[in-house]
Amino acid sequence: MFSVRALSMRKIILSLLLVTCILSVWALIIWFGGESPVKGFLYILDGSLGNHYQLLSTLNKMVPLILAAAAVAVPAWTGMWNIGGEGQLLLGAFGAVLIGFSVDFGVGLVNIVVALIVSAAFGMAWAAWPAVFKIKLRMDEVVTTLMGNYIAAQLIAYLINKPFRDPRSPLAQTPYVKSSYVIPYLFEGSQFSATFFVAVSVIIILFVFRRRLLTGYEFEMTGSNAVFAELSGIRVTKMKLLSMLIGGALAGLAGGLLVLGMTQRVMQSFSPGYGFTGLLICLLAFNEPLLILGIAFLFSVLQTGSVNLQLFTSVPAEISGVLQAIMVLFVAAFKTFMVGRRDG
Amino acid sequence: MDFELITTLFRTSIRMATPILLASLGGALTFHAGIINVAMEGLMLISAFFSVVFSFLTGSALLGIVAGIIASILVSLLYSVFVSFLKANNFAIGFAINILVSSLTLFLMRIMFQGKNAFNSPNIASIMELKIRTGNYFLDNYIFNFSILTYLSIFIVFLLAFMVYKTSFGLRLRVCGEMPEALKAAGIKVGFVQLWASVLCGALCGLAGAQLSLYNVRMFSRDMTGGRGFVALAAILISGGKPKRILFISLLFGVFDALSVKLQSEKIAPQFALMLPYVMSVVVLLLFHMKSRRRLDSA
Repeated sequence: MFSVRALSMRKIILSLLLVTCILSVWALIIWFGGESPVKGFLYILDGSLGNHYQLLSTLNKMVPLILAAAAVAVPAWTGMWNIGGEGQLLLGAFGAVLIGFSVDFGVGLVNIVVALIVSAAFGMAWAAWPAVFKIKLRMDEVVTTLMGNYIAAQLIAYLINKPFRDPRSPLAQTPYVKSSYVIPYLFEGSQFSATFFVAVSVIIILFVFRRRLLTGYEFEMTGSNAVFAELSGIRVTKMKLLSMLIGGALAGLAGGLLVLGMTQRVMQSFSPGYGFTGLLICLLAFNEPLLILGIAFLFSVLQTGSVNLQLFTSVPAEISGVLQAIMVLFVAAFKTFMVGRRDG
Repeated sequence: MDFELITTLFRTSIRMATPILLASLGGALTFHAGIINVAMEGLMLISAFFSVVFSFLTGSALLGIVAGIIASILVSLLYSVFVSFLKANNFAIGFAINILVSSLTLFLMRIMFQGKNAFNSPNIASIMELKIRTGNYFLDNYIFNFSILTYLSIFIVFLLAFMVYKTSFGLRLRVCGEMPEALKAAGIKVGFVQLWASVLCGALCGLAGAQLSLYNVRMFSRDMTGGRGFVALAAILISGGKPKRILFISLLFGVFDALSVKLQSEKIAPQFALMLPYVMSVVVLLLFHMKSRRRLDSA
């Protein structure tokens, strides 16, 4: 994608056309929401990048999005669909809380690392059963991972309502994690913390893994042609299972980081659909780790910006979801013209 | 278990099974045409929304249903254009459409009604029932007095069973899914067969959404389809797209939905009751796959 050869005139023109199309439809929707498009865009940009607090909050919002997208991307490398990021994230968040208010290892850093490992393990466990069903019984993983989201949501709702409910709170939520588990904010007046750097490191690791490591190559082979991969001695089912487990762990990690870095507890409607936004990001990034960073930034700008938009105009903040999904559709359509159809 | 309870359970099962049945019948058509339709969730949701809006504005449930069907067909056409003509990945586009519809309905609800997560009003006209009072307890409760869409859906089961297996369109549909090259060789465009399947699927998912929001609850709430599009997909995968089998499987899922509604008022934690339909669709799918695996092994 970044090679010089790819930069033909046709592709440049198509890319410009794509951006124009997306921006015009976005403008149309903002106008439909009752605001002049130019002003609408300015409100979005101002609300997300206007000053350094807003920039920090935009960067902070990227953390769950990056990891949720990576949770879809890694299984996609081997041709698996992980639609269960939402549930895995919830389980991961609960795992972090469970450790965070019950155990104490004495050292803050150890605490945090253990809690994050547990959250990744919880997420992994929730990705494991659809993966095993897929591999052993050829059960469609799209259906099972998706059903897993609803089951996980109810399971967490039960856990925070009954056994792990904070007795002092009128709302259904867990107690706070111990203070030694909290990842501190780095700047006054902003929730930005080291979690951002954790997420970015994960992306860099994934980039290196995919491009430089043998297993990464085997993932690619499995995804592009499983039969050929099998014949070349790659254990396809093992690769598929492994990729799904990594995906689940990443989604679980997202939940853990959200708890330790921001909310410090799990409450009702903990995730406003991070898993699904992550799916959209991954689709736009064509499963490529570095592109995930860029698209997650853009989505984060849209999300924080549209809150600002709602504050000052009549346009509801839900507009961000519409804008994001429309972008995916346009990019999918243009991809056909760029790369050509799969068959004649 | 007393008799009244069985009656309530039966009626709730039928009520809950109807949208799943309609959606899976629609999805079965695209399934035969070679598309695993993951956009049914979005199709049902957009129809549920526009059914409520138009039923509220016009005071007529029929116009509501029609509006829902039209909205659903339009979205289904969009899906089909991407999948059949632009050759985009059907899962990717399906989920993009589901998320688009989910946020679009919220966005529109905010603009039109200032409602945050739900919109209801006494002015929303409900779908009529087949009101026949014979005086016979069994007939009144078990045969008559369901939503007219329930009767329509059972009629559609047999209509589709005929259409898919006995007509030339059905033949093209199945060839399109099983051996698209043959269709191409016969000079029939695969894309157009899939497009027609999608239009019909849109219409049926439209009916499903209308049943959901104009009969089962008579309101629109955020993401009210709650995964039923995927329960329908599970039904299709289990049945292999055969309409009469779909009828049985939808009824089964309807029973689980009804039990879930019923159990919420019992001592058991409501979350486990709410979990039941999803757990059971995984379990049924699991049993089906274990059985088909055994068959493969013994063969």
